[in-house]
Amino acid sequence: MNAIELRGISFGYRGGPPILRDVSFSVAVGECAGLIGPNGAGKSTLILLMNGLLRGQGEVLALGQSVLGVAPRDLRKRVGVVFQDPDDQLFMPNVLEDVALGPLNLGSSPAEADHLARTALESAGILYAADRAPHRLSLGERKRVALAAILAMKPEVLVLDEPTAGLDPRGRHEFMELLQSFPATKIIASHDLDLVARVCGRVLVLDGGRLVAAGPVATILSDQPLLAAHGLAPPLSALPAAPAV
Amino acid sequence: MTAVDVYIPGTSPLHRWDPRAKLMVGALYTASVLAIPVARSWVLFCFGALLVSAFGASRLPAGRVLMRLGPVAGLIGLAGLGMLFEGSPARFVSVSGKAALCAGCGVLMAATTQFGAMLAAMRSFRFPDILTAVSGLAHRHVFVALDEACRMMVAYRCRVPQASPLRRLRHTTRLALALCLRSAMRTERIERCLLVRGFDGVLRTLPLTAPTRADVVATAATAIVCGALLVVGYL
Repeated sequence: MNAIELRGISFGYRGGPPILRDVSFSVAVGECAGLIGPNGAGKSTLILLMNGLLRGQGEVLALGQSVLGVAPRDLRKRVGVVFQDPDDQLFMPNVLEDVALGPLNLGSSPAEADHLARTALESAGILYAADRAPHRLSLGERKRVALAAILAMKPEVLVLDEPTAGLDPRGRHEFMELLQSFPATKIIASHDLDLVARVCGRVLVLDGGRLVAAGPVATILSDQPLLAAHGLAPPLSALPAAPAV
Repeated sequence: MTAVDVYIPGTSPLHRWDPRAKLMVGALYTASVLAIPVARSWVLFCFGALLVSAFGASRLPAGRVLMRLGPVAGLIGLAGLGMLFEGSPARFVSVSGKAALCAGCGVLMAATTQFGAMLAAMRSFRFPDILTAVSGLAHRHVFVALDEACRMMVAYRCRVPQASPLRRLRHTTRLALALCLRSAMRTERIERCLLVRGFDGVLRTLPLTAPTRADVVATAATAIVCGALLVVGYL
Protein backbone atom coordinates (compact mmCIF):
# COMPACT_ATOMS: atom_id res chain seq x y z
CA MET A 1 0.00 0.00 0.00
CA ASN A 2 1.17 3.52 -0.76
CA ALA A 3 1.44 6.02 2.07
CA ILE A 4 1.36 8.94 -0.38
CA GLU A 5 0.48 8.85 -4.04
CA LEU A 6 0.42 11.81 -6.42
CA ARG A 7 -1.34 11.43 -9.75
CA GLY A 8 -0.74 14.09 -12.41
CA ILE A 9 -0.46 17.01 -9.98
CA SER A 10 -0.26 20.48 -11.51
CA PHE A 11 -0.43 23.69 -9.53
CA GLY A 12 0.10 27.41 -9.93
CA TYR A 13 -0.82 30.40 -7.77
CA ARG A 14 -3.52 32.63 -9.27
CA GLY A 15 -2.04 34.91 -11.93
CA GLY A 16 1.40 33.30 -11.62
CA PRO A 17 3.31 30.77 -13.70
CA PRO A 18 2.75 27.06 -13.07
CA ILE A 19 4.80 25.79 -10.14
CA LEU A 20 4.15 22.07 -10.54
CA ARG A 21 3.46 20.33 -13.84
CA ASP A 22 2.05 16.84 -14.06
CA VAL A 23 3.94 15.39 -11.11
CA SER A 24 3.25 11.73 -10.34
CA PHE A 25 4.97 9.47 -7.84
CA SER A 26 4.20 7.29 -4.88
CA VAL A 27 5.88 6.53 -1.56
CA ALA A 28 5.21 3.15 0.02
CA VAL A 29 4.30 2.65 3.67
CA GLY A 30 7.46 2.55 5.80
CA GLU A 31 9.62 4.01 3.04
CA CYS A 32 11.81 7.09 3.45
CA ALA A 33 11.96 9.23 0.30
CA GLY A 34 14.10 12.28 -0.31
CA LEU A 35 12.71 15.14 -2.39
CA ILE A 36 15.57 17.15 -3.83
CA GLY A 37 15.89 19.95 -6.34
CA PRO A 38 17.16 23.51 -6.75
CA ASN A 39 15.50 26.56 -5.16
CA GLY A 40 12.08 27.22 -6.68
CA ALA A 41 11.72 23.62 -7.91
CA GLY A 42 8.34 23.32 -6.16
CA LYS A 43 9.31 21.11 -3.21
CA SER A 44 7.59 23.18 -0.51
CA THR A 45 4.46 23.60 -2.64
CA LEU A 46 4.33 19.84 -3.12
CA ILE A 47 4.46 19.38 0.66
CA LEU A 48 1.49 21.72 1.13
CA LEU A 49 -0.46 19.74 -1.48
CA MET A 50 0.27 16.46 0.33
CA ASN A 51 -1.37 17.82 3.46
CA GLY A 52 -4.38 19.27 1.63
CA LEU A 53 -3.33 22.84 2.49
CA LEU A 54 -3.30 23.67 -1.23
CA ARG A 55 -5.47 22.26 -3.96
CA GLY A 56 -4.19 21.65 -7.45
CA GLN A 57 -5.18 19.67 -10.51
CA GLY A 58 -4.75 15.92 -10.30
CA GLU A 59 -5.14 13.72 -7.27
CA VAL A 60 -3.25 13.32 -3.99
CA LEU A 61 -3.90 10.10 -2.07
CA ALA A 62 -2.88 9.66 1.56
CA LEU A 63 -3.00 6.01 2.64
CA GLY A 64 -5.25 5.19 -0.30
CA GLN A 65 -7.78 8.01 0.16
CA SER A 66 -7.95 11.34 -1.66
CA VAL A 67 -6.85 14.15 0.68
CA LEU A 68 -9.85 16.18 -0.47
CA GLY A 69 -12.25 13.45 0.61
CA VAL A 70 -10.88 13.11 4.14
CA ALA A 71 -12.00 15.33 7.04
CA PRO A 72 -9.19 17.81 7.89
CA ARG A 73 -8.81 16.36 11.41
CA ASP A 74 -8.32 12.82 10.02
CA LEU A 75 -5.92 14.08 7.38
CA ARG A 76 -3.75 15.80 10.05
CA LYS A 77 -3.57 12.47 11.88
CA ARG A 78 -2.37 10.75 8.73
CA VAL A 79 0.10 13.28 7.36
CA GLY A 80 2.21 15.45 9.68
CA VAL A 81 4.26 18.29 8.24
CA VAL A 82 7.32 19.79 9.94
CA PHE A 83 7.98 23.19 8.39
CA GLN A 84 11.38 24.71 7.65
CA ASP A 85 11.24 27.63 10.08
CA PRO A 86 10.39 26.49 13.62
CA ASP A 87 9.47 30.09 14.51
CA ASP A 88 6.42 29.73 12.26
CA GLN A 89 5.41 26.53 13.97
CA LEU A 90 5.92 27.29 17.65
CA PHE A 91 3.31 29.75 18.81
CA MET A 92 2.47 28.88 22.39
CA PRO A 93 4.17 30.59 25.34
CA ASN A 94 5.86 27.38 26.52
CA VAL A 95 7.18 24.22 24.91
CA LEU A 96 4.91 21.67 26.60
CA GLU A 97 1.76 23.61 25.74
CA ASP A 98 2.96 23.97 22.18
CA VAL A 99 3.55 20.26 21.72
CA ALA A 100 0.23 19.41 23.42
CA LEU A 101 -1.70 21.72 21.09
CA GLY A 102 -1.89 19.16 18.24
CA PRO A 103 -3.20 16.24 20.34
CA LEU A 104 -5.73 18.55 22.06
CA ASN A 105 -6.97 19.71 18.66
CA LEU A 106 -7.30 16.08 17.55
CA GLY A 107 -9.60 15.33 20.47
CA SER A 108 -7.25 13.95 23.15
CA SER A 109 -8.14 14.62 26.78
CA PRO A 110 -5.80 17.04 28.63
CA ALA A 111 -4.16 14.15 30.53
CA GLU A 112 -3.68 12.17 27.33
CA ALA A 113 -2.33 15.23 25.48
CA ASP A 114 0.10 15.91 28.32
CA HIS A 115 1.35 12.31 28.14
CA LEU A 116 1.64 12.38 24.32
CA ALA A 117 3.48 15.71 24.46
CA ARG A 118 5.97 14.50 27.07
CA THR A 119 6.56 11.24 25.17
CA ALA A 120 7.15 13.13 21.91
CA LEU A 121 9.50 15.59 23.62
CA GLU A 122 11.42 12.69 25.10
CA SER A 123 11.75 10.89 21.78
CA ALA A 124 12.98 14.15 20.22
CA GLY A 125 15.49 14.47 23.07
CA ILE A 126 14.15 17.82 24.30
CA LEU A 127 12.01 16.93 27.33
CA TYR A 128 14.34 18.99 29.55
CA ALA A 129 12.97 22.17 27.89
CA ALA A 130 9.29 21.35 28.47
CA ASP A 131 8.66 24.36 30.71
CA ARG A 132 10.75 26.85 28.78
CA ALA A 133 9.53 29.56 26.43
CA PRO A 134 10.39 28.84 22.74
CA HIS A 135 12.35 32.10 22.38
CA ARG A 136 14.75 30.86 25.08
CA LEU A 137 15.81 27.88 22.93
CA SER A 138 18.54 27.59 20.30
CA LEU A 139 17.59 26.95 16.66
CA GLY A 140 18.51 23.26 17.02
CA GLU A 141 16.31 22.94 20.10
CA ARG A 142 13.42 24.76 18.39
CA LYS A 143 13.73 22.37 15.45
CA ARG A 144 13.48 19.43 17.83
CA VAL A 145 10.42 20.95 19.49
CA ALA A 146 8.81 21.52 16.07
CA LEU A 147 9.43 17.85 15.25
CA ALA A 148 8.05 16.75 18.64
CA ALA A 149 4.95 18.90 18.04
CA ILE A 150 4.15 16.81 14.98
CA LEU A 151 5.25 13.47 16.50
CA ALA A 152 2.80 14.06 19.36
CA MET A 153 -0.01 13.85 16.80
CA LYS A 154 1.22 10.34 15.87
CA PRO A 155 1.07 10.82 12.09
CA GLU A 156 1.43 7.82 9.83
CA VAL A 157 3.41 9.86 7.30
CA LEU A 158 6.00 12.40 8.38
CA VAL A 159 6.82 15.12 5.85
CA LEU A 160 9.78 17.37 6.63
CA ASP A 161 10.76 20.55 4.83
CA GLU A 162 14.50 21.29 5.07
CA PRO A 163 14.86 19.72 8.53
CA THR A 164 18.60 20.42 8.89
CA ALA A 165 18.69 23.94 7.38
CA GLY A 166 20.63 26.34 9.59
CA LEU A 167 21.94 23.72 12.00
CA ASP A 168 25.62 23.46 12.96
CA PRO A 169 27.45 20.19 12.07
CA ARG A 170 26.82 18.59 15.47
CA GLY A 171 23.16 19.64 15.49
CA ARG A 172 22.81 18.35 11.93
CA HIS A 173 24.39 15.03 12.83
CA GLU A 174 22.14 14.62 15.89
CA PHE A 175 19.05 15.52 13.87
CA MET A 176 19.95 12.93 11.22
CA GLU A 177 20.26 10.25 13.91
CA LEU A 178 16.93 11.33 15.36
CA LEU A 179 15.21 11.02 11.98
CA GLN A 180 16.76 7.62 11.38
CA SER A 181 15.29 6.38 14.65
CA PHE A 182 11.67 7.03 13.58
CA PRO A 183 10.11 4.06 11.82
CA ALA A 184 7.21 6.03 10.21
CA THR A 185 6.99 6.74 6.50
CA LYS A 186 9.09 9.83 5.83
CA ILE A 187 9.30 12.28 2.97
CA ILE A 188 12.18 14.70 3.36
CA ALA A 189 12.50 17.77 1.15
CA SER A 190 16.05 19.02 1.46
CA HIS A 191 19.12 20.52 -0.15
CA ASP A 192 21.18 18.59 2.36
CA LEU A 193 22.19 15.62 0.22
CA ASP A 194 24.22 14.13 3.05
CA LEU A 195 21.01 13.87 5.03
CA VAL A 196 19.21 12.31 2.07
CA ALA A 197 22.07 9.85 1.48
CA ARG A 198 22.06 8.81 5.11
CA VAL A 199 18.35 8.64 5.92
CA CYS A 200 16.47 7.99 2.66
CA GLY A 201 16.20 4.86 0.55
CA ARG A 202 14.89 6.54 -2.59
CA VAL A 203 15.30 9.98 -4.15
CA LEU A 204 12.92 12.07 -6.24
CA VAL A 205 14.47 14.94 -8.20
CA LEU A 206 12.23 17.91 -8.88
CA ASP A 207 13.19 20.80 -11.18
CA GLY A 208 11.08 23.49 -12.81
CA GLY A 209 7.96 21.94 -11.32
CA ARG A 210 8.55 18.56 -12.98
CA LEU A 211 9.73 15.26 -11.60
CA VAL A 212 12.93 14.76 -13.61
CA ALA A 213 14.36 11.64 -11.98
CA ALA A 214 13.56 9.05 -9.35
CA GLY A 215 15.48 6.06 -8.11
CA PRO A 216 17.56 4.52 -5.34
CA VAL A 217 19.77 6.92 -3.40
CA ALA A 218 23.03 5.30 -4.55
CA THR A 219 22.08 5.58 -8.22
CA ILE A 220 20.78 9.16 -8.19
CA LEU A 221 23.36 10.71 -5.88
CA SER A 222 26.25 9.19 -7.79
CA ASP A 223 24.96 10.51 -11.12
CA GLN A 224 27.02 13.70 -11.21
CA PRO A 225 25.83 14.91 -14.66
CA LEU A 226 22.20 14.56 -13.51
CA LEU A 227 22.87 16.46 -10.27
CA ALA A 228 24.84 19.18 -12.06
CA ALA A 229 22.10 19.61 -14.67
CA HIS A 230 19.61 20.37 -11.91
CA GLY A 231 21.70 22.70 -9.78
CA LEU A 232 22.75 20.07 -7.24
CA ALA A 233 26.11 18.78 -6.08
CA PRO A 234 26.97 15.29 -4.81
CA PRO A 235 26.93 14.89 -1.03
CA LEU A 236 30.20 15.58 0.77
CA SER A 237 30.21 12.00 2.01
CA ALA A 238 30.41 10.82 -1.64
CA LEU A 239 33.46 12.97 -2.46
CA PRO A 240 36.95 11.40 -2.31
CA ALA A 241 38.85 12.23 0.89
CA ALA A 242 41.40 15.06 0.63
CA PRO A 243 45.03 13.84 0.55
CA ALA A 244 46.85 14.11 3.85
CA VAL A 245 49.22 17.09 4.06
CA MET B 1 15.95 38.23 22.49
CA THR B 2 15.74 37.04 26.06
CA ALA B 3 16.89 40.52 27.15
CA VAL B 4 13.40 41.91 26.53
CA ASP B 5 11.68 39.02 28.27
CA VAL B 6 10.14 40.21 31.55
CA TYR B 7 10.39 36.77 33.18
CA ILE B 8 13.57 36.16 35.17
CA PRO B 9 14.07 32.39 35.68
CA GLY B 10 14.53 31.21 39.25
CA THR B 11 13.58 28.62 41.84
CA SER B 12 12.45 30.88 44.71
CA PRO B 13 9.18 30.24 46.57
CA LEU B 14 7.62 33.06 44.56
CA HIS B 15 8.62 31.40 41.29
CA ARG B 16 7.06 28.15 42.48
CA TRP B 17 3.88 29.77 43.79
CA ASP B 18 0.77 28.78 41.83
CA PRO B 19 0.14 31.41 39.10
CA ARG B 20 -3.62 31.52 39.93
CA ALA B 21 -2.76 32.39 43.51
CA LYS B 22 -0.28 35.03 42.34
CA LEU B 23 -2.86 36.57 40.03
CA MET B 24 -5.45 36.63 42.80
CA VAL B 25 -3.10 38.01 45.44
CA GLY B 26 -1.72 40.57 42.96
CA ALA B 27 -5.22 41.82 42.18
CA LEU B 28 -6.12 41.94 45.88
CA TYR B 29 -2.90 43.77 46.77
CA THR B 30 -3.39 46.35 44.02
CA ALA B 31 -7.05 46.93 44.95
CA SER B 32 -6.15 47.29 48.65
CA VAL B 33 -3.34 49.78 47.90
CA LEU B 34 -5.60 51.86 45.67
CA ALA B 35 -8.35 51.88 48.29
CA ILE B 36 -6.20 53.43 51.06
CA PRO B 37 -7.48 56.97 51.79
CA VAL B 38 -5.11 59.91 51.28
CA ALA B 39 -5.23 60.77 54.97
CA ARG B 40 -3.88 57.32 55.89
CA SER B 41 -0.98 57.23 53.44
CA TRP B 42 1.34 55.91 56.16
CA VAL B 43 -0.37 52.50 55.67
CA LEU B 44 1.24 52.46 52.24
CA PHE B 45 4.60 52.03 53.97
CA CYS B 46 3.30 48.76 55.46
CA PHE B 47 2.23 47.66 51.99
CA GLY B 48 5.69 48.70 50.82
CA ALA B 49 7.33 46.55 53.51
CA LEU B 50 5.20 43.61 52.39
CA LEU B 51 6.29 44.13 48.79
CA VAL B 52 9.97 44.49 49.73
CA SER B 53 9.83 41.26 51.71
CA ALA B 54 8.24 39.54 48.71
CA PHE B 55 11.05 40.88 46.51
CA GLY B 56 13.52 39.50 49.03
CA ALA B 57 11.86 36.09 48.94
CA SER B 58 11.91 36.10 45.13
CA ARG B 59 15.74 36.37 45.08
CA LEU B 60 15.52 38.54 41.94
CA PRO B 61 18.66 40.53 41.02
CA ALA B 62 18.16 43.99 42.58
CA GLY B 63 19.72 45.86 39.64
CA ARG B 64 17.29 44.45 37.09
CA VAL B 65 14.32 45.08 39.36
CA LEU B 66 15.31 48.72 39.96
CA MET B 67 15.81 49.20 36.22
CA ARG B 68 12.29 47.98 35.58
CA LEU B 69 10.89 50.24 38.26
CA GLY B 70 12.55 53.21 36.50
CA PRO B 71 9.46 54.20 34.49
CA VAL B 72 7.58 54.68 37.79
CA ALA B 73 9.84 57.67 38.46
CA GLY B 74 8.17 59.31 35.45
CA LEU B 75 4.74 58.71 36.97
CA ILE B 76 5.87 60.17 40.26
CA GLY B 77 7.22 63.18 38.39
CA LEU B 78 3.84 63.63 36.72
CA ALA B 79 2.10 63.41 40.07
CA GLY B 80 4.49 66.08 41.41
CA LEU B 81 3.73 68.28 38.41
CA GLY B 82 0.01 67.91 39.10
CA MET B 83 0.62 69.14 42.62
CA LEU B 84 1.76 72.52 41.23
CA PHE B 85 -1.74 73.17 39.90
CA GLU B 86 -3.99 71.40 42.33
CA GLY B 87 -3.53 69.14 45.29
CA SER B 88 -1.37 68.90 48.36
CA PRO B 89 1.83 67.17 49.53
CA ALA B 90 -0.32 64.45 51.14
CA ARG B 91 -2.04 63.73 47.83
CA PHE B 92 1.35 63.67 46.11
CA VAL B 93 2.67 61.10 48.60
CA SER B 94 -0.50 59.03 48.18
CA VAL B 95 -0.52 59.07 44.36
CA SER B 96 3.21 58.46 43.95
CA GLY B 97 3.25 55.77 46.66
CA LYS B 98 0.32 53.93 45.11
CA ALA B 99 1.86 54.17 41.63
CA ALA B 100 5.17 52.78 42.90
CA LEU B 101 3.54 49.93 44.83
CA CYS B 102 1.23 48.86 41.98
CA ALA B 103 4.09 48.98 39.48
CA GLY B 104 6.30 47.05 41.90
CA CYS B 105 3.64 44.39 42.30
CA GLY B 106 3.32 44.10 38.51
CA VAL B 107 7.10 43.84 38.07
CA LEU B 108 7.33 41.15 40.75
CA MET B 109 4.53 39.07 39.23
CA ALA B 110 5.89 39.36 35.68
CA ALA B 111 9.45 38.58 36.77
CA THR B 112 8.50 35.45 38.70
CA THR B 113 5.74 34.01 36.47
CA GLN B 114 6.19 32.62 32.98
CA PHE B 115 3.82 34.29 30.55
CA GLY B 116 2.28 30.93 29.60
CA ALA B 117 1.48 30.17 33.24
CA MET B 118 -0.05 33.62 33.66
CA LEU B 119 -2.25 33.03 30.60
CA ALA B 120 -3.31 29.65 31.99
CA ALA B 121 -4.21 31.36 35.28
CA MET B 122 -6.24 33.95 33.38
CA ARG B 123 -8.05 31.19 31.52
CA SER B 124 -8.87 29.41 34.76
CA PHE B 125 -10.45 32.67 35.99
CA ARG B 126 -12.61 32.66 32.83
CA PHE B 127 -10.91 35.56 31.08
CA PRO B 128 -12.27 35.65 27.48
CA ASP B 129 -10.65 33.00 25.24
CA ILE B 130 -10.04 35.50 22.47
CA LEU B 131 -8.03 37.71 24.86
CA THR B 132 -5.81 34.91 26.17
CA ALA B 133 -5.34 33.31 22.71
CA VAL B 134 -4.40 36.59 21.03
CA SER B 135 -2.13 37.57 23.95
CA GLY B 136 -0.34 34.20 23.75
CA LEU B 137 0.23 34.41 20.00
CA ALA B 138 1.26 38.08 20.20
CA HIS B 139 3.71 37.41 23.06
CA ARG B 140 5.40 34.62 21.12
CA HIS B 141 5.66 36.58 17.89
CA VAL B 142 6.82 39.82 19.47
CA PHE B 143 10.12 38.03 20.09
CA VAL B 144 10.26 36.69 16.52
CA ALA B 145 9.56 40.18 15.09
CA LEU B 146 12.09 41.80 17.44
CA ASP B 147 14.72 39.27 16.43
CA GLU B 148 14.02 40.01 12.77
CA ALA B 149 14.12 43.78 13.38
CA CYS B 150 17.49 43.49 15.18
CA ARG B 151 18.97 41.48 12.32
CA MET B 152 17.69 44.02 9.79
CA MET B 153 19.19 46.89 11.81
CA VAL B 154 22.58 45.16 12.05
CA ALA B 155 22.57 44.51 8.28
CA TYR B 156 21.57 48.14 7.69
CA ARG B 157 24.39 49.49 9.89
CA CYS B 158 26.88 47.32 8.01
CA ARG B 159 25.81 48.90 4.75
CA VAL B 160 25.17 52.45 5.99
CA PRO B 161 27.67 53.21 8.75
CA GLN B 162 27.05 56.98 8.55
CA ALA B 163 24.05 58.99 7.40
CA SER B 164 22.33 62.27 8.18
CA PRO B 165 19.46 62.02 10.68
CA LEU B 166 16.93 62.70 7.91
CA ARG B 167 18.36 59.96 5.70
CA ARG B 168 18.48 57.58 8.63
CA LEU B 169 14.83 58.33 9.40
CA ARG B 170 13.89 57.61 5.77
CA HIS B 171 15.78 54.33 5.84
CA THR B 172 14.30 53.33 9.19
CA THR B 173 10.80 53.95 7.83
CA ARG B 174 11.56 51.66 4.90
CA LEU B 175 12.95 49.03 7.23
CA ALA B 176 9.77 49.22 9.29
CA LEU B 177 7.68 48.76 6.14
CA ALA B 178 9.79 45.78 5.11
CA LEU B 179 9.33 44.32 8.57
CA CYS B 180 5.54 44.74 8.27
CA LEU B 181 5.59 42.96 4.89
CA ARG B 182 7.69 40.13 6.30
CA SER B 183 5.33 39.83 9.25
CA ALA B 184 2.37 39.61 6.87
CA MET B 185 4.10 36.78 4.97
CA ARG B 186 4.92 35.07 8.24
CA THR B 187 1.26 35.31 9.24
CA GLU B 188 0.36 33.23 6.21
CA ARG B 189 2.95 30.59 7.16
CA ILE B 190 1.77 30.55 10.77
CA GLU B 191 -1.81 29.99 9.60
CA ARG B 192 -0.64 26.93 7.64
CA CYS B 193 1.24 25.62 10.66
CA LEU B 194 -1.88 26.05 12.80
CA LEU B 195 -4.00 24.19 10.24
CA VAL B 196 -1.48 21.34 10.03
CA ARG B 197 -1.90 20.86 13.76
CA GLY B 198 -5.66 20.59 13.58
CA PHE B 199 -6.50 24.19 14.60
CA ASP B 200 -10.23 24.84 14.20
CA GLY B 201 -10.56 28.29 15.72
CA VAL B 202 -10.14 27.32 19.38
CA LEU B 203 -6.69 27.51 20.98
CA ARG B 204 -6.76 24.56 23.38
CA THR B 205 -4.32 24.39 26.24
CA LEU B 206 -3.37 22.07 29.09
CA PRO B 207 -5.03 22.78 32.45
CA LEU B 208 -2.91 23.86 35.42
CA THR B 209 -2.17 21.34 38.15
CA ALA B 210 -4.04 21.66 41.45
CA PRO B 211 -2.49 24.16 43.92
CA THR B 212 -0.50 22.64 46.78
CA ARG B 213 -1.34 23.15 50.46
CA ALA B 214 1.62 25.56 50.72
CA ASP B 215 0.13 27.61 47.85
CA VAL B 216 -3.22 27.81 49.63
CA VAL B 217 -1.66 28.76 52.98
CA ALA B 218 0.57 31.44 51.41
CA THR B 219 -2.39 32.88 49.47
CA ALA B 220 -4.61 32.96 52.54
CA ALA B 221 -1.87 34.55 54.67
CA THR B 222 -1.17 37.28 52.11
CA ALA B 223 -4.89 37.93 51.67
CA ILE B 224 -5.33 38.25 55.45
CA VAL B 225 -2.40 40.71 55.70
CA CYS B 226 -3.75 42.83 52.81
CA GLY B 227 -7.24 42.77 54.33
CA ALA B 228 -5.90 43.74 57.76
CA LEU B 229 -3.91 46.66 56.32
CA LEU B 230 -7.00 47.81 54.45
CA VAL B 231 -9.03 47.74 57.66
CA VAL B 232 -6.27 49.71 59.45
CA GLY B 233 -6.42 52.24 56.61
CA TYR B 234 -10.11 52.90 57.33
CA LEU B 235 -10.07 52.75 61.13
